[in-house]
Amino acid sequence: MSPRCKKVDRLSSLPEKVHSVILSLMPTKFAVRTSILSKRWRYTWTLIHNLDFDDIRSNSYSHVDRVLMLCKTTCVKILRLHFSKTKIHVPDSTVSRWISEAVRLNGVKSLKDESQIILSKRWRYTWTLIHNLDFDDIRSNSYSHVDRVLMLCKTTCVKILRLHFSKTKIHVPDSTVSRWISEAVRLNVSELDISNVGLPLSLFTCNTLSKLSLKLIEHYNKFSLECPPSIYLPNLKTLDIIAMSERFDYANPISCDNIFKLIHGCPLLEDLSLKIHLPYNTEDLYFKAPTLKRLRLALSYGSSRDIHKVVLNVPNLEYLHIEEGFAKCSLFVMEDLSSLVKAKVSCGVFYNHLWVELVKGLSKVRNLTLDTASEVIGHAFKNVHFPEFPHVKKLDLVGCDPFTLREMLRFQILKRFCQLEHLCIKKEQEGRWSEPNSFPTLTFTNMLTVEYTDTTCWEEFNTNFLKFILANAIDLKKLIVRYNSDLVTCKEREQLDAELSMLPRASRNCQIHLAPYN
Amino acid sequence: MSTSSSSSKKIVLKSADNETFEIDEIVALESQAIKNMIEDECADNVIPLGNIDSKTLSKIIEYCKKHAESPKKDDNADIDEKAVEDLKSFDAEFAKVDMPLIQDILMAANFLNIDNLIGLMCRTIADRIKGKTPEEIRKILNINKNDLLSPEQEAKAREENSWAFD
Repeated sequence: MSPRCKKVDRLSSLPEKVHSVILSLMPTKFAVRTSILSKRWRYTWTLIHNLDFDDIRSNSYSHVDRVLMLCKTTCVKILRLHFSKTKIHVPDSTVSRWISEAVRLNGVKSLKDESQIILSKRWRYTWTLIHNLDFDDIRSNSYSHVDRVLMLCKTTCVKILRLHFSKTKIHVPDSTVSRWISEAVRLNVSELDISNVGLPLSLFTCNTLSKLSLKLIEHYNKFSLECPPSIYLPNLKTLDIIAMSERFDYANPISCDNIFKLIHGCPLLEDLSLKIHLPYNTEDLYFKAPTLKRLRLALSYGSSRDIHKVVLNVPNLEYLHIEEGFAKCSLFVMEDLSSLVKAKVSCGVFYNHLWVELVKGLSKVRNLTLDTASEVIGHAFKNVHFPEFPHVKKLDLVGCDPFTLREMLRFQILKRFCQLEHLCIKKEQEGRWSEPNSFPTLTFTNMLTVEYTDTTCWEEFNTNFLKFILANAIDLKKLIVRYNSDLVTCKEREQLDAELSMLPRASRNCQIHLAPYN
Repeated sequence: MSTSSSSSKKIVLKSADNETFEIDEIVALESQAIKNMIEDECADNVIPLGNIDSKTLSKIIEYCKKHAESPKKDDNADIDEKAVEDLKSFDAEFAKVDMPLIQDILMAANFLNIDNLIGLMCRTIADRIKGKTPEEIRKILNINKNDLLSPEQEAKAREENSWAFD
């Protein structure tokens, strides 16, 4: 015996990736058997990326479902289904489900070349029953497979069609893509995800479509969305649009008309995500959508000469997110936001009065998240028009720096949140910090929990801030302090723990938890 | 090949037991890890490989030499069939060693990032454990007795995956 035999189980020290390669090189049955080898091997088999079922019988095939369900790999390379020679009765729909699942785990690779799905003769064409078509890398020199798949696909109901084009400039004629989409519409498609192509007219009256994702580019002073005179998408619930343009031409501004036309053609729209980038802003945007429940807006402009209006008339809206990259010069007019419960504002700001106008419109929400990463927001706290938020129970402040937090205390901003129960602060920037002149005291009567996270180096400021909270929150039950464990040593942590426990507390029942966030 | 090698750049590798191996740069390039070191210009002197013993390292160099000499698939679409066959039979012979050495080679190949060799060793291990009983596999892979499942755990695993044990 060579001395190396004495070393035990060296294979176990190799990364799981290697184990998955080994187990993928044998029939799946043998791979699964390794589950009893040892603790280390108990679940290793779930990482296999080749599924090879070589003896499926009519009275026992539930294990295929089980394996597909447990498989943790994100990429099934090969799926092989061989059926036992005796007459079998696995329903077509079952096999189709297995293949769909494998295709889902694999993107399109196995679809592009159906020969990769190695089936026995009887199942050679079962893949044609799949109902999700996902083409994620269409190139100008290879797109005939899309036609082939659409032609061979025997399903009468395509659920999802996704057409994404390879990044290099492509020359698939619009007419070809239109043909594909028309075909999907004919097959009662319910979800479409399409980038940068003209859309066929039939799409705009498709009554099975429930979800549409579009990526638009600019096309002759418009976004590449050729809308017919009438649009009617009676089942569309989710609309996701990204529209980008960089062309700078004051004489011929780009209009978003057609985008709004599309929005207004969806009588049941519930979920709208709109990301528009224009070189400069040109027109007021008017959102009137009575069924809308969730709205995410990210509007950005390269330059901003004039302030333009964004009007929201969405009486059933429950969730609003004004996202990063938002127009630095938009004036929000909230005509109707009467159902709004939750709002998140994480946009950049240019003028603090515009930001104040924006949050003013959200004063009825119960759950509010504000990104304060922009310095302007510290100044906005000084603004005498900063509104009251009498219904907010949970406030999340993210992207904070010491300056903003200090201004918040100086101008007693938390006083405007008289029902606040949960306050979460995430300090993500170190900052200029001068000693406070002493903050005006402020009694928080409802505040139950405060969670304070510092993702940067721990600063003296934090202790001062927490001291203020502990001294003023008379009902506080729990203070959770999270620090960056990469930047705070064990010793510092102990000091911190001691320091925090020494701080005077206005609430008798307050517990302090110190924990890393990472 | 031997003529060209004399003029080309040399790389020196040092094993855990302090044996040095001088090889052509082209051979060393089979290892993605060493290739990165050469590109980052960290491979001027001797490259110490503190976790690979000389027996394993000489096997790995034997493999890299052969593969560096053989025409690459992507170089030329119609490389002659004979070269492919030749490489195949080399690989088959190469893998005819005992399991401990195979595992050492696999670990070293993983460390040095030699894709083909990782694949070859994985295939070899798969072939040797495929269809064997758990007891046999534990013996082949030298699985630590302390890591075994308790009888109850094993029974549960067998029950969960009963289809595979029929």
